Amino acid sequence: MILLWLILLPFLGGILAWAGAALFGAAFARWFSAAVLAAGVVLSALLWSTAGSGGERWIAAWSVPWIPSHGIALSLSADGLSVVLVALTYGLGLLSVVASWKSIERAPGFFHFNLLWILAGTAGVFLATDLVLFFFLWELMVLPMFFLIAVWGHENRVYAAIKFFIFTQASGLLLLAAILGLHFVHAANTGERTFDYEALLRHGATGTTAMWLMLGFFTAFAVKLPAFPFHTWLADAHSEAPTAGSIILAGVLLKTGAYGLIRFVLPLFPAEAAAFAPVAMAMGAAGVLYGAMLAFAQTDLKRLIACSSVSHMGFVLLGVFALNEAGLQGTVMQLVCHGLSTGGLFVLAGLLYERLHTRDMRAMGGFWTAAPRMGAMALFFAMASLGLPGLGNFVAEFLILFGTFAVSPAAAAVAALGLLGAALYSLRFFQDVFQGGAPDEGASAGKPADIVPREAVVLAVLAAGLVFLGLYPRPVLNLSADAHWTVGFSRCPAGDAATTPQTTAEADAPAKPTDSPGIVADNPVARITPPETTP
Amino acid sequence: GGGAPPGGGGAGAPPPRRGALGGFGFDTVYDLLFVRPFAALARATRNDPVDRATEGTAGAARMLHSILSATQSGRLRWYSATIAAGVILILAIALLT
Repeated sequence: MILLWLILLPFLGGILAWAGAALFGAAFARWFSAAVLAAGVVLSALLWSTAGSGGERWIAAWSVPWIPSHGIALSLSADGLSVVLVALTYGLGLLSVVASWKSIERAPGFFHFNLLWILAGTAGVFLATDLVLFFFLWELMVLPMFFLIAVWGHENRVYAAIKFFIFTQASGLLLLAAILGLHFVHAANTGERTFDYEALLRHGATGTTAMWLMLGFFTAFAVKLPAFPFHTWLADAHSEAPTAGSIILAGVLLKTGAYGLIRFVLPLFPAEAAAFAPVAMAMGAAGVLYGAMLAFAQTDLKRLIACSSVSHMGFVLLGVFALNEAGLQGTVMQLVCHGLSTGGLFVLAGLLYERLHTRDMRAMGGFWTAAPRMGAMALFFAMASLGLPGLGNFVAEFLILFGTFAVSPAAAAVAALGLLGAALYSLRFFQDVFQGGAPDEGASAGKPADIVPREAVVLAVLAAGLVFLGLYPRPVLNLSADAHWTVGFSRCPAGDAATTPQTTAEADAPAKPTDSPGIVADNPVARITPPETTP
Repeated sequence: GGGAPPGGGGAGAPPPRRGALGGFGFDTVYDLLFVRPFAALARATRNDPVDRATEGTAGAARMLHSILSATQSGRLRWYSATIAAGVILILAIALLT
């Protein structure tokens, strides 16, 4: 039931916030949304606390029939991966409401309605284990995000919103085709009509059919991630969205793409994914470098942060398709830490925009003297983004590079150059905005006021999360390790290995599924235990 | 970015000292090998060349729109000629296959 409430809470809360804003004013919408999301944080913490008790696949599961004649059910299940991402969704959602407390003047009720519905869709995507329900929630995220960009965005918002919409709709169509294809192939092979995730794991498709289905899922998720060369919607959507929209987009929405790769592409098509891994890793490495180079060249502050996301998501693609424990552990860490660090940077960009009404870095400079606390925060998040040891992003990127190196030293070497690129754009952002002299009288946007306590709290929470995960990444690593049965790296029950002919045995870095919980012994990479403190 | 590297210091000093003061020209070499090429590349790709492909699809749709909307001229004789041509085409396909 807790899973159902995790979706219903923002779903109903959004409607009530909208209705309440019309009756009681804008303050109601803000307080109510914050309360709903705080309740969501508490619920996900409750779910987290029940995790890791036994070796079961799912921490919690809930299911009722929906359209039984077609084998469609409302089924929700959570494993460690889902719990981590749902908690991230609610945490960042709450912070984004607080961060945009004063900046929404236009239709605040509808704004909070859209925000909560995006979060309902996202939390649902992380929990749904019926593929029709998954697709429904996948689409549910898109429409409110379209409105969020198109109504409350910056000057070029309509262009950005339509671009975002077309990209996600086109990839959604591919996803739908792949889901239906999988359904019919499974029905033909087993005679059972179902959209249930665990049943579909034994779809029995092979050869080119399986390859095309895998590519359908992969492309849909790669657009959302976004992977090079499908990233071009991201820079526009992120930079034109309002602050809350940027935080949710970068922090949560992109993660649904990575989640899809881990939850669907790898477990459903292990052999095909292994065959395709070199291409995916090349895309990842290219994204890491290309994103960093784009970020370095931007003059628009939000565009710089958006392009840096392309770079960071390239690491995610590498980690997923390294097809080993270290890569996957690093990926999950990267998802969480990128959410926190990029969320922090977007909050800062929003604060500067509220004060200066520009995102152009050429009109900024020397803000450290006027806003030292903001500058210190900016320095912190710039360091997090470039992967400073001691902060969560370092653990994530280190593990990903470590896992990648075992499979492809070349890809790891190329991606490691991305760390250099990250230093370039992060330091350039900090130098241009907070150091140096102010630009000439005519070009200068003026001096910003320093941060107020409400803003400081938002930034401090994000920063504390990054420091905590940098020094003690175990909670996330342990929890996500429970989820690895889906990819067969550790806790894969023997029955499954027998019924699914293609396990990861064919992967580049072979990791044999075993009965025993824990780590496979004969794989040098899989033997890594999560570091307890900073390596 | 990348301004002039701080090379060439200590012009009047004896040779070894002059080289040390100028960092043995490492800044100049790095500037030429890494900084300038990267900055030039970054400047050239600033507007994301990959995005041109996306823009291209939008441009193609717009072009198709202008071509097709040009046929909506309101002239009946063009419309009837198109219908006649279509009938002939269908009949030809039906008879010849």
